[in-house]
Amino acid sequence: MEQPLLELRQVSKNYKLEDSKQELEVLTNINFMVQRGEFVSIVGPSGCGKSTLLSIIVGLIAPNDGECLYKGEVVKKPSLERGLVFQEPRLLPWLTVKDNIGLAGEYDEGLLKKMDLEDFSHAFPHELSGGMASRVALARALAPRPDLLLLDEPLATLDQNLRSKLQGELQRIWKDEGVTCILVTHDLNEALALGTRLIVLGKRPGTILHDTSLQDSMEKEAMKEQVLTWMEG
Amino acid sequence: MERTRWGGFKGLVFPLGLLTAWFIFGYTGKLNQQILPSPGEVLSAFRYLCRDGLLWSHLGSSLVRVFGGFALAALVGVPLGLIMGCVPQSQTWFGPTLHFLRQVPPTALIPLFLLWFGIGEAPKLAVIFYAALFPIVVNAARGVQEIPGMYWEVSRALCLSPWKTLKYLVIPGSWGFVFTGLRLGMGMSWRAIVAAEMLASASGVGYLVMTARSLARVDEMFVGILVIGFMGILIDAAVITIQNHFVPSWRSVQGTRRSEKGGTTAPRTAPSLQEL
Repeated sequence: MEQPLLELRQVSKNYKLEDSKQELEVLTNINFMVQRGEFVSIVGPSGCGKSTLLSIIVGLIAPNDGECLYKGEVVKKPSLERGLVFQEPRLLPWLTVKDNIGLAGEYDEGLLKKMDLEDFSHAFPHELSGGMASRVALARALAPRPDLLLLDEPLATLDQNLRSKLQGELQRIWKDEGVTCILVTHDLNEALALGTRLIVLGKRPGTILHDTSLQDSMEKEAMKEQVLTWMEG
Repeated sequence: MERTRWGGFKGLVFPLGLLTAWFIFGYTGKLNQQILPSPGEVLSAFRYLCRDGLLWSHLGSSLVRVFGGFALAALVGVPLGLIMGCVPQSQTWFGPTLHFLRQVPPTALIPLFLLWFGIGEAPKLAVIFYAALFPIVVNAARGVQEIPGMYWEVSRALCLSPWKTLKYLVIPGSWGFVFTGLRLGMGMSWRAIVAAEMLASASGVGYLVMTARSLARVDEMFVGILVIGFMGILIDAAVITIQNHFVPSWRSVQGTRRSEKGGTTAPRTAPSLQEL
């Protein structure tokens, strides 16, 4: 069997609350594998640890228990092989679009063109619309040519029209660039529309309630009700 | 627009009123010349000091000292402040010492500096260095601390090297605060040098005022005092102009964004002088 690109083994994460000695259990016993070329959507209610899970995969934080393996090696720190797109674009306001994209990787004119941003390469973030800023954030994560792209609700702050448009772009990038994607979202429609596989997390502390591959649109539609019940349960 | 234009003049009403009253009392001869000379006499003293070259020579000495000491303080203070901002533990280690030193006015150290560095330029430069250093260090450190945590997370996620983090995050992110510190430092330098020259110097605007006092030339004392005030304003204006020129992108992030949601979040701006 081919080595998975990513593997999480019994990952748990607690946070110490600042005001007390209590610990907040955010994730518990998370196990799953991701193969190359998959588009995994992770859904769950707010506060179930979805973003924490991505931070562990990126290497920004370490799990309290279990381990996260990337290409068979334990993740200890961030790597350019794993690109992260945050919920907000988080563009450095004092850098132009071009400089923001080129922060970590080689500045690529082609990437700018693909993202439809070539006319804005010298613009500052405050001169961009929300959609453009999201595209720049995506381009910044793609610039170092990562094998795994982690998307932390990158479209959550956009209106519906823009969201649909960027969902299409995400799917195009996944197909064209051959990058493996993990999308975290609380929007089930988005998860079903983009993913080839769906992981459902339950309420905090987040555990995997369901992990299934998504074949066709009929199946996706049929799953909706069931997933909603899981999430609410 | 009209209100704004008028607003700019409001600050001139009081000094102009004072000047007018001074003129009227001076013209009517009701002023005791040994205590308060008339504006005409002060103007004559100013002309004399200018023509004689004394004023320019004293002013030049003061400015050279101020810029020399300030440049040293900036060279040491900005990197030190940035390092302190980047290393959170440094606040725990050095915070109390800094807080203590900030309470000691530069003038209190003049006798000590004279003892250590002898007479000459060194003790004056040391006073200016001391006076300017703390606002520069404290503001640079605060500038780094005020960089929103989300940008630090971006730099970690993008695996930026320490050099790139300094170049693209720390320096531009703290620029507004650094300039505020430099501006405060420059103001402190100017005030400190005048005090130092009054106590231990043979040249400079502070020395000019003290010499005028010992010669009972109140008119020349007024010239010196007015020159100190106006020079302070000019230096402050020059620093603000430089700040506005070199921090355009910092200012521009405060501009309005497009109406769609999801744009970038503007970081906090540099504090006002009152805030400090």
